[in-house]
Amino acid sequence: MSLLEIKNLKANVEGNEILHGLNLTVNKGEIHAIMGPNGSGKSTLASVLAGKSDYEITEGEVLFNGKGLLDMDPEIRAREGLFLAFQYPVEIPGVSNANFIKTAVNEIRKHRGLEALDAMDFLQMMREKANLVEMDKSFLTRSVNEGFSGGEKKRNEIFQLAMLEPQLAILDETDSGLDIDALRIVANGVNKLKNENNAFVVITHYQRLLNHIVPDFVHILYNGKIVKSGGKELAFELEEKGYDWIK
Amino acid sequence: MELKDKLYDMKAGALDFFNQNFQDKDGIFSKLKISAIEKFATLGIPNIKQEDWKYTNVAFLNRLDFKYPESKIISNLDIDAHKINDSNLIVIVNGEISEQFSDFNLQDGIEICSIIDTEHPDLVGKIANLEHHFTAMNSALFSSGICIKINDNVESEKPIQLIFVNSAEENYIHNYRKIISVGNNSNVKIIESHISVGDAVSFNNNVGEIYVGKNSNFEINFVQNHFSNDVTIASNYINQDRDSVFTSLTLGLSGKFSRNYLGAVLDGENCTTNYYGIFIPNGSELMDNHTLVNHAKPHCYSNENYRGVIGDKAIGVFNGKIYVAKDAQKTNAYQSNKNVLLSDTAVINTKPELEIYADDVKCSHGATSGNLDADSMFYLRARGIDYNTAQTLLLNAFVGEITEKISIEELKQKVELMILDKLSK
Ligand SMILES: Nc1ncnc2c1ncn2[C@@H]1O[C@H](COP(=O)(O)OP(=O)(O)O)[C@@H](O)[C@H]1O
Ligand SMILES: [Mg+2]
Repeated sequence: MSLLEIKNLKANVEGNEILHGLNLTVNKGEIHAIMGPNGSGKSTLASVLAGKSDYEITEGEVLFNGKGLLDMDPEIRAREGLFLAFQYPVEIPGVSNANFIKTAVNEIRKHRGLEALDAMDFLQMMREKANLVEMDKSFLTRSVNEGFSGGEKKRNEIFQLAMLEPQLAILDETDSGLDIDALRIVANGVNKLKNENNAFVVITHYQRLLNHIVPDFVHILYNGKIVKSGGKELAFELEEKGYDWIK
Repeated sequence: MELKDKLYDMKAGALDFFNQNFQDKDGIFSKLKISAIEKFATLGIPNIKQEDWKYTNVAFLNRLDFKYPESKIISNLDIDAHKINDSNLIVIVNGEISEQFSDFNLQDGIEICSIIDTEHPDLVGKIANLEHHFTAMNSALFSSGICIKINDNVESEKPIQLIFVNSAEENYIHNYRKIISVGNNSNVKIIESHISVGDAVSFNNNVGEIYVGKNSNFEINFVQNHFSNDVTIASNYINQDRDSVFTSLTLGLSGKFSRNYLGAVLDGENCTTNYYGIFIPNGSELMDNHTLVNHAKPHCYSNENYRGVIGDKAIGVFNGKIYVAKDAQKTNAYQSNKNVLLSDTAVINTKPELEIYADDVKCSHGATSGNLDADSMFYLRARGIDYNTAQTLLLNAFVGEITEKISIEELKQKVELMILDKLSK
């Protein structure tokens, strides 16, 4: 059984169809890259999968581990093992990063039939995962993303990814706005987290991230549809020829 | 019969009772009471046609049959939920300071007595505004309350906690009067709570007059965690002398009906006034905060920040008036009121009122009302946190900006738990 199966997905926002019948299958152990020009629907796809309510699904089906994903509340999707690293992570003043992530970890553990982590184990885990993305400990006590730079916000997304250990992680332009060091840190984090039992969908604008996170498949999303799929060489081709080539 | 007429009927009795029982040096109290009775007879109970009462309908008071309470001893009382351990605890049961439940050991320079024994009757009625309906009523009818006198140069070691306990076997009106007089160069914190035992309606109509001396720092925490039937009207008048700091925290946690009036006159240069407040009504509760900051003198600073979380069919009201007198140049006055509405039927009425007669003034105000931020909510849910837990996290953060101002750690923790308890329902 595939981890994720998207069949003929059509989605509207405010009455306009943005996704026009999208198909994608992701298996465990795979890394997929989705590339496409601005406004092609990449974030829409990510948001629809994560369960944002602004979108109306008009047709199609999404199976996650064989279960209908679209009927689940966003929190259930997360507990079932779906994770979205946001393109624009929100700032939440007054909620500490540590308290937030602890609440999230324990909700997910509960869903998986595991005991809540005690304070010591949790602290240990936070330290370890913060190290993985070279995030200073002081970020844990600060409010979620508040006053973080663009790069710090993206690192915080990958830190959360590491803490929540999802089966499927969707990274929505995690590389945009990162300098080369931050890019390397984020990519190293992802590479360390990758294993046989999980999968990544990496949404990106640029080929450069794919030098660090090497995809098994590359898909080109154009105007709400996947118009071309291939191996990692497709990314180079795209880089060379530009998006005009696929029109 | 309307409440005012009922009370007017009671006036003779009240005055007689007062004259017989209390020493009244120079007849100051009687004089106040006689003019207050006349005033109240004219004013009566406000109605919603009056600007200050537009959103807060007190007509129901006319329909209730209230009695004037007799002093009554309560033998069993559980105040643990309210008690701050590291404090001087004064428990006032139906108007009388209870030796049994109080627990205090006051340091030199702090005196506490019943209002009727005060040696400073001239402070009673001096700054309270008799044009305010319920202040007139209180002034006419009060026969109990408390006087706290703090001398010069007193560095208070512990906060003073006042817990007013009402027994409400029948519908009672309690008119407590409170005088707090802080000398110069002193530093004091007070916690005031009101609780009721019994099922009837306890109508608290409290008036306080607070004098803050030169270069003193005074903080008062009003913890409003009332039983569901309580009706509370609390009017506190403050006068600040120069270089003083007055800080209030009005913590509206629960209660069927509450109206808080807070009015400070910054009556000397270089004063600081901080008004912080939360109100988190749900069900059919109503919480109303009317405030006045009166910048009478130059070079003063005031900062007001109230946050409301209104659920179900509850009503929140905020009215913040800033008055800057002609001579009060170099005034800095800030005001903010932010509200979150948790349901379509929840109501907030928020209004700033600025009256500025000086020209060299920095003044800002802002009010917002809306639902919880949808993007924040989605972000939390996308991490596996369910809607209710996410809402509690966000609301806690929202009121946290106020609760973090609570300087008494034990109180802060208690209040945070009370908030969590209420907001997670
Ligand atoms: N919430 C929304 N409201 C209105 N239009 C939207 C919304 N989200 C996306 N769109 C529109 O959908 C299209 C695809 O946007 P998006 O998915 O963000 O593209 P990408 O991530 O590929 O740049 C754009 O035309 C965008 O304006
Ligand atoms: Mg996008």
